Amino acid sequence: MRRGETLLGWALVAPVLILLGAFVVAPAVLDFPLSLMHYDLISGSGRWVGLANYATLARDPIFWEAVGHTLQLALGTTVPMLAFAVVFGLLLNRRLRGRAVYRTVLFAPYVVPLVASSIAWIWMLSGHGFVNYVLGAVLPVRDFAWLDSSAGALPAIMLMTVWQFVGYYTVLVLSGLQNIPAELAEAARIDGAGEVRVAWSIILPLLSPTLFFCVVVSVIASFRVFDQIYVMTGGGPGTATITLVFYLYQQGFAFFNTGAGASVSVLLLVALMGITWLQLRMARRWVTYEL
Amino acid sequence: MTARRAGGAVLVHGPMVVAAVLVAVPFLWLVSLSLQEPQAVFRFPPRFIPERFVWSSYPDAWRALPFGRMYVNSILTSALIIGGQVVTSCLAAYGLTQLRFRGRHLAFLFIISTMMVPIQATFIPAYVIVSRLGWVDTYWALVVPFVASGFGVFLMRQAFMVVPRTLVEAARIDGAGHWTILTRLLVPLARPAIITLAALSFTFHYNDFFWPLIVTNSAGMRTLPVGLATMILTEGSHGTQWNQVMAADVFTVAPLLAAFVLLQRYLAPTSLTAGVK
Repeated sequence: MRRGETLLGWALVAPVLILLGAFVVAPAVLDFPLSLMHYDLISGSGRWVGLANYATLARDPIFWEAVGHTLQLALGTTVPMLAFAVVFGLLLNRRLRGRAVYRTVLFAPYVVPLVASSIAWIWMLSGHGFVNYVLGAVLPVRDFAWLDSSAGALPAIMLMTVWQFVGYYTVLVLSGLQNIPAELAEAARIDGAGEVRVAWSIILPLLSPTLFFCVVVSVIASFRVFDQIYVMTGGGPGTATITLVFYLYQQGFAFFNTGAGASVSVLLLVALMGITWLQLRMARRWVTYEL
Repeated sequence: MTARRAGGAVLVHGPMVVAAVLVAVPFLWLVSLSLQEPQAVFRFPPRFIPERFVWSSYPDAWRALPFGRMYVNSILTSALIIGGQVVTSCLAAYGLTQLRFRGRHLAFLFIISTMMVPIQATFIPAYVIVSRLGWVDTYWALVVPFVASGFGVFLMRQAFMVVPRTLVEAARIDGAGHWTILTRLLVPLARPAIITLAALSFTFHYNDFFWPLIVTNSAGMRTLPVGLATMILTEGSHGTQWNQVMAADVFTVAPLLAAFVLLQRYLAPTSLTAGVK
């Protein structure tokens, strides 16, 4: 019986173990040796070159630009997105007519392909697009083509990314808010605290685990940005919007520098798994879980 | 008091209406521009209600690329992935929750640790593996790498764990075998979790871009997002026909938004499901 159960147990988990092993774990592990090789994708042959790929990377100014853009993107999406998500969450966290409609509309962009929304945003951000139509009322931006400008392209990508995901984080914040007992805010109101004070001093501290979690998810997501760059700017103008994953794509699949691409992959793996690990450690120390 | 409440309603609804309209704006313009002349995208100020409705952009877009085939590719590969994930995840979750066997904690740890791996960082070696298998530009490459999901196992394990042990014991005493307990008892009880897994997995794989972009190269194997991207990045002899691009965008997005409105309660992110995408 015992032995039968062991056999059956392993048989049941085997498909998952084999598939994840072959297509997630093995590739993640293979990044390391590949990053130490010059590997030819077409012939499938390679030779060891030690740390040469990493040295090339360190000398490539475009790589450092990609790192910089990725960090800017992480900051420039996470901060406004979470600020909006908290405001929307606080506004929606009450009995409110039309609440479900607001939630649905805000969340909708999350379910459509980034490629599809990128196409809409190419027009939105063009010289004759809606963004300039609105901003033109107050700023002299007429005919300013955001995506063709090396100063405007990255902020434009940030705007589009915030639009796509703000509803997702709003719903996450809402579910966090619903776990906060209503009596706490009620008690503060009875003691004469205004709504802003209640939100700032009572609700936000209690929401900190959710916010911390959202920050981590958003930072990790911005390290992985690719689709909107590929469609909207192709990394340009020039190199103005090249991000780490776009750089990885170029090295691996456009220039066929498999080794260089693998070394970027290694850095990405280490960075993102490091962030996840830090999150698990720091969540305990930084965040108020209970009163 | 009433005046104060009315003031409060304006303070809440005012910003929310503005936010909802701003979020909807790109979709609304997408539809509007798909029904106008190709040059409408260059007009300033932009005109929202078309001067003349150009309905032909839809059939023209449909013929510009093999969109019928790309629809089939997108839906078929997503469906196969979802089916595979549900089956493999339920089997594994049954083993992990209902059977006591040596090494099962280790197996579970291995499975959930894969959720931490940023998938883009695996694409270069994964491409090498897939091309060695001779799968480039086939359905195999689009489907097989995703048939197992660490998140799926995690979610189904949670769902099976909340089923009371006594219920499973009772079924066993009544003579039910493993297969009956899984298919007649646990799976029906875990239906909401299965729908959540299917819905999340569908939005992810129908929308997926990077992997289908690198493992397909013939027009007949492209999925919708890749097809859409090639439509704007490869200009024809007359330049980009923007109304057709917008039309193609609309028929890519419309079924998703419709499905979303029907299934949205299964898609709400929680701390369990966040970060999957």
